[in-house]
Amino acid sequence: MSYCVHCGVELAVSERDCPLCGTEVVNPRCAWERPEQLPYPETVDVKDAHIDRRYARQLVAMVMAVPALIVLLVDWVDGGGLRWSPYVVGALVLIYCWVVVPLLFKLSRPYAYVAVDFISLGAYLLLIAAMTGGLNWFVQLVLPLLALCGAALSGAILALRRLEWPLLDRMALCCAILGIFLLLLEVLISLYAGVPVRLAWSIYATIPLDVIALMMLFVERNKRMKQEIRKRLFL
Amino acid sequence: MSTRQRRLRAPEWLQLDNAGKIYPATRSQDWMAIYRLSVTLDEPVDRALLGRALQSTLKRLPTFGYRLRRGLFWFYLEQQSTQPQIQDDAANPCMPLSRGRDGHHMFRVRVHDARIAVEIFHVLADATGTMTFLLTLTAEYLRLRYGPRIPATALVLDLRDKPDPSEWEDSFPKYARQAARPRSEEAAYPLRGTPAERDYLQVVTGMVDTAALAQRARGYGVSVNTYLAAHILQALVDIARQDKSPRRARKPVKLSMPVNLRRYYPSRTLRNFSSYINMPIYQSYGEYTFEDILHQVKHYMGYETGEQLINARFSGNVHAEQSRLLRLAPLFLKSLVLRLMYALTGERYFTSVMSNLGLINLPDGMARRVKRMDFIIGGGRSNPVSIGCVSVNGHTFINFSKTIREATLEQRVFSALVRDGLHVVVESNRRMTG
Repeated sequence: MSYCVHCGVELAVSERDCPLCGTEVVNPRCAWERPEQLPYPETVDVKDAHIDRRYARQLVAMVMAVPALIVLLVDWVDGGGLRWSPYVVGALVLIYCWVVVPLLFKLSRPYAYVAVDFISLGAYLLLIAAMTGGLNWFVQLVLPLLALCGAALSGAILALRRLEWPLLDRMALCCAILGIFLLLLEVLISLYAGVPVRLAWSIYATIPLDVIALMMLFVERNKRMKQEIRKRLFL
Repeated sequence: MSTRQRRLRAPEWLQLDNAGKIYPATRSQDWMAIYRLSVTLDEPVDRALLGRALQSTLKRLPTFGYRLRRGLFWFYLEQQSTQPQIQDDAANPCMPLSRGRDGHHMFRVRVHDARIAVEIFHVLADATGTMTFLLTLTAEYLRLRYGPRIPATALVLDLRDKPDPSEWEDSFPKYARQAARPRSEEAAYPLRGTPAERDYLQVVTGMVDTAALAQRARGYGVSVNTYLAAHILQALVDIARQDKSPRRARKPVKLSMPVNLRRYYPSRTLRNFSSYINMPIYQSYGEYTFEDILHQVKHYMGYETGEQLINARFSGNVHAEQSRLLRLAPLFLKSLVLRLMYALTGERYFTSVMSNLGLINLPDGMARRVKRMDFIIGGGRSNPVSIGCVSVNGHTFINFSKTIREATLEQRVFSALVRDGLHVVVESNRRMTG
């Protein structure tokens, strides 16, 4: 019989070291030998798999297909053509892309979700534009705006995922990205409206954002100041 | 009309008992309220004989073979014709029941060498009911194996008797009264640690001589249950004091201790009929010596286990179940509410649970064949360590089951028992390689 010198308990013959503290038990007169019969077998029960995502995706798609088919049919029978049902079907597809894809698809990078969301939104707006005869509006404003939003969001995600960077640096980069986004937004709106590009409101929003970003970069690099701020603002 | 004539056949279906209603709502593929009772014999178990014994036992105790079904308003139990297959035991006990492995059964019987184990979903029965099932099964197995019939006792039923309706009654509403205690409590200190390997409930068992343990407890003027609870609470207090989060450390440590209600009422039910007491120690109010904790446990438990207070506690649950609003709510809504209630209150009111089944007196002919018994409580949904104790044939088996890597609690408890002069042998379900 062997005892744990740390816990004082006797170890059952099945125990090579102490199950309480991990202390190795060295008994020069009786080296540990694996007994023929352990108190528990080696085989391990495995829990049932988690939600079957593939099955859930198919189920949700089928459930959503039912109202989509019904509205298409009703629209067709009622008016002899597709007048309003594409809006409903498009909205259902949009819901699938925005809700089901993040929940039930395992994409390797978050940028893929952003791409799916913006492409589906763009497609839905294109459908609306085509059905209302507003392709001009779509091409000149919606498309660049979506591209800009997608790029800004991807940039922010990229910055926030750089975990090796200090938090304040990452926040500063996000502020800078937001500032650039606002400037470009005003440029886009001016171009669409057909007025000369003159930056006005976006400047007022961008300057404080840039100042905040610079302050964050400065504080991050000034250890004394960082310490001072921490000292005065601790909760 | 004789008693035997009055006995009925087992019903086609049964409503869940008052305590059992929470378990189906809170189960998931990852977690289920499962516990395990096992008996270790003096020689390897013959599976074919055990299968036959199980068949006879299920005829006598039919409700253990029921399956769980979904109604419009409540879950219910329904009779089924199949019986579970005897399974090989596994290194990790108390995993959730699986449709593929366990079919629709709410329990499984497993064998490892000389050990027969029953792992059961709490929806069917509490530990006293399951102990009756396991010992009746074991007695029938021994009869098939060796010949002589084991005499019936309170925990070993005679298979020649017919099932009795009183064995599957829901005793909670029968004994509940109008007055109820508020169910809200102060949140307890939450024990935390590094999550253990997924799908692996770690078990550490301490084996102590029952007579020495009882003598030690008597030396302090308390029962074995109080003595063990005080050691566990002392260890929890020490752990809470070392917690780096002052917010967590301020909360009292609480040990939940189930109370068998059959001690208070003449119920013969084999389904759930137990309540609990959450024993608190307010470690943030000052230092506690072991004697202080012993004193508090002894008197708090003495006060809380009064019939009136116990009754008021479970009467509250019965009233909640009988609420017209709750009864009329469809099952999916009810399940959501129960799930939410369990998440907000269920395990927040205690740090750990210790269930002591006490001394199991086995009938002659069985006692000499039984070497050991174990009671393992499956991991809690959020509380990582549970403790099950049972004493048989002169030995007490204290099983710590946990879902965290750290062994701080059991290490402190067993070391304290050793310092108290007790001889503790420990064993675990760790996989030994090499």
